Amino acid sequence: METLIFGRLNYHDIPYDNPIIMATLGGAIMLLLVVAFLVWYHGQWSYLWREWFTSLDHKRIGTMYIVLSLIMLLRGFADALLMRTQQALAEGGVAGYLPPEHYNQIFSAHGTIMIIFVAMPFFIGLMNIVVPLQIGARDVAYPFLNSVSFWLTVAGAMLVMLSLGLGNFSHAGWSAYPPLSEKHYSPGPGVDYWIWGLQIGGVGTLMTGINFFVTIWRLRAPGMTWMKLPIFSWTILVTTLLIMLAFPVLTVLLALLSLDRTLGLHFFTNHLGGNLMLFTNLFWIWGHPEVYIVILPAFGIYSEVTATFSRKPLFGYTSMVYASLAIATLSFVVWLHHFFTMGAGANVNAFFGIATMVIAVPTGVKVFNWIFTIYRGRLEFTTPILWTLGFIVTFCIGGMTGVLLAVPGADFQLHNSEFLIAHFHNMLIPGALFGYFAGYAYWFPKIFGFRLNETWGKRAFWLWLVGFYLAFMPLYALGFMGMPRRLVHYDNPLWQPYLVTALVGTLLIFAGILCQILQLTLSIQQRRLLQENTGDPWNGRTLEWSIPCPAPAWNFAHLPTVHARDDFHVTKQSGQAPPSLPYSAILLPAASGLGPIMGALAFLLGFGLVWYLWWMAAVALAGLVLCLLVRSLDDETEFLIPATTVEATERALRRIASSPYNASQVSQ
Amino acid sequence: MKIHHSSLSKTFTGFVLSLILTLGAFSIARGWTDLASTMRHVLLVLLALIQILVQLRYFLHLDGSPDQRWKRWTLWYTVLIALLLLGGTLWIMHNAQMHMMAGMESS
Repeated sequence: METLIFGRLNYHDIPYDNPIIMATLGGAIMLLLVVAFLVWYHGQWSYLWREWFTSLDHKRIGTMYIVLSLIMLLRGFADALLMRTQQALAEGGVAGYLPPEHYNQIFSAHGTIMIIFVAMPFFIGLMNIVVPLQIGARDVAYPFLNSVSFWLTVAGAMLVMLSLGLGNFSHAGWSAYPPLSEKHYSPGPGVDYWIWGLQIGGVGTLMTGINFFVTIWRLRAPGMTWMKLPIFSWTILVTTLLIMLAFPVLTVLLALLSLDRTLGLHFFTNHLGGNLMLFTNLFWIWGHPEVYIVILPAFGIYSEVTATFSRKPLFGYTSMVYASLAIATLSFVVWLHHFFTMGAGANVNAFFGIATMVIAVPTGVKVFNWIFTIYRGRLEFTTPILWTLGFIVTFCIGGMTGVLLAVPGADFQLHNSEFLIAHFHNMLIPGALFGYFAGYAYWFPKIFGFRLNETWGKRAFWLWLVGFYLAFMPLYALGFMGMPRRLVHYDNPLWQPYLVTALVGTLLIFAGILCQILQLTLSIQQRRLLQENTGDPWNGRTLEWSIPCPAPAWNFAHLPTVHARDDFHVTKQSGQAPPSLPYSAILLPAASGLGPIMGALAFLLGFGLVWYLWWMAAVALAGLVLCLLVRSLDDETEFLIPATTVEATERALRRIASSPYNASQVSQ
Repeated sequence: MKIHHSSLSKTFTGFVLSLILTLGAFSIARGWTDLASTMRHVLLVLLALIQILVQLRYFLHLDGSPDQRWKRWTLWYTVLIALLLLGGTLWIMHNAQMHMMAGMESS
C-alpha cells in the first residue's frame, strides 16, 4: 500500500547528511523565496503570468528561454568550479572534499545541463526572438506549440534541478552508457532523473525544431527567396532540419533505456540478448548532429555580426549556405568517431575518420568567409565583434585538435583523456557559447529598447577569453601526459600544476560571469542613457533593424516586401523614406495558460516515472491529453489589435526617434 | 480549415489499405509458419515499405504534382539520412560483432 502511494520515495532520499548539498539547497531555496517574495511585494505575479508565462509572443518566449539558459548556466558553472577545485586539490595523500559518488553526479549533471539546458535554450531563445523579425513575419507558424515547447524544456530542467535535493542524479556521465546506467548497476533514481529530464526537454526541442522549420519555410516575407534569406535564419533552418532528423533517435533511445530500467526489458543489458554497444551507437547518432545543432546557430550569429560591424556584405554568402547544408549532411556520417575504440575494424574506423576530416572543410570555408568579410572592412570593436574575433582564433585551435582526434590511431591514445575534454570544450565554449553571447549583446536592444553597457561587456569578454585559455590549454597537455577524464583523485604530482592553472582559469571565467551580471544590472540602471530610439543601433543590414526598439508585439505594422539580400541596408542606401501607409488592425495569437499548465503536468509525469508513483504519472498524462483536447476545441485563439492602437504605438516609438534629445544621444 | 469530402474519402481509402497491410503482416507472422523464415522476413519488410508509401500518399497527401517539388525534396533527404544511419549502424554493429563476439555468438 505504501509503495502504491509513495512509490519508492522515502524521506531518506533527502541528502541531509551531505553538508555541501544541503548548503547549496538551502541557498537555492532561500534565493527562490526572496525572488518570489519580491515579485509578490511589488504585486507583479499577475503581470508575470499574464504578460510572460502565458504569452504566445515569440519575443517573450525567446526571452524566457534565455533567462532559463542563464540560470542553468550558473548551475552548470557551479558544477565546473566544484570539479576544478577537487582536481586541483586531490593529489596523492589529499582526498579532496568531494566523495567519489558525489563527484560522479557532478560531472554527469555538468554535461547534461550545459548541453541540454544551457546551449539549447540559449540559441532557441535567440532564434525565437530573431527569426520571425528577420524573415518579416508577425509570429512563428505555431505560437501555442512554441509555448508548450518552452514549458516542456522548463519541466525537464526542473527535474534535473530537483535531483539535487531529492534522491540523486545520474552518476553514469552525461552519455549514460550501459551497463552502468542499467538498473542492475544504478538502482537509484539518478539515471531516471537523467532519462526523464532529457526526454521531456527533448520532446520540447523536437517540437521547436518542427515549428521553426515550418516558420522559415512558409512565413518568409513576399520576395524573400531562398538566396535572400538572412544567413542567421539560414543556419537556423539547417539546425531545425538536424533537430527533426536527430532528436527522434534520442527519444527512442531514452524510451528503450527506460523500458530496460522500469519494465526489466533487455535492449542494452549485457545478458539475455541485450547489446550495450547499440546504445553507444544510437546515442552518438543523436549526439554528433547535436554538436552541430548547438554550433550552427552560433555560426549564423558570427556571420551577422561580422557583416554588420565590418560595414560590408557577408563575403561568400552562397558558399556559407552550401557549407551549412554540407555540414548538416556530413554530420550524419561521422558519429562513430566518438567510439573508435569500441572495437569496430580498420575499415569502419577509416571511413568515419576520413568523414570527420572532410567535415572540417565546409567549416574551414566558413572561417575564411568571416576573415574575408573583415578584410578591408571598417571593423568596429564592439562587444559582439570581440566575441567573434575571440571565437575565430580559438575555434581554429579546437578545429585542429579535432582533426587530430579524427585519426583513429591518435584517438586510441587520446580517447577518454583530458585531451578530449580540452577539445570539446574548445569547440563548445568559443564555438557556441561565445556566439550566443555575441547574439545576446547584438539583439538585446531589439527586445528591451536599450543597449548593454559596453565597458563591462568587454571586460567580461577578456576574462572569459583569458580564463578559457588558462582553463583548457593545460588539459591538452594533461591528455598527452596520460591523464584520463573524470578522475576524482590521482597519484601523479606532475599533473597538479596544470590542474591548479586550470582552476585559476576557471576562476577568471567566474570573474567574467560576475562582469556579465554586473553589466546587466548596470545597463538596467543606465537604461535611459543607453536607450535606443532609432530601432537600428548598429546600422544593421537585415529586416529586424527596420522596426522600432523594442519591437512592438506585432513586429511589423506593415508586412515588408523584400527586393534584395540585406534588404534593409539596400533601402537605407537608396535614401528613400518609407512610404506612409495607412495602419490596419492586426490579428495576434492570444495568451494561453495551457502552456505552463502542460509544463507542470509534464514535470509531474516525469516525477511520477522517476519515483514509481504510477498514479501520479497516469493522472499527469491524462491531464496532458485533456489540455490538448481543450486547446483543440478552443476557437478564440487570436485577438485583434485595433488600427488606432497600432498607429498610436508605432507613432510613439517612431516619434521619439526624431526628437532632438535623442539625436544628441545617438551622436555620443 | 474545412475538411473536403474528397480528402475524407482519401483518408478512408488509406485507412482501409493500411489496415489490410497490417493484418497481412500479422497473418504472415502468425499464420504462415510453413513458409521459410527468410521468405517471411522479406515479405514483412515489403509490406512495411508499401505501408509507408500508402501513408505518405493518403495521409500526408504527397503526390507528383509540381507544387510539391520541395516536399518531395525533403522526403528524399530524409530517406537519404535514414539510409545512411541504418546502413551505418548495421555496418558498425556487424563489424564490431565480428571483432569482439564472434566466438560467443556462434549459436
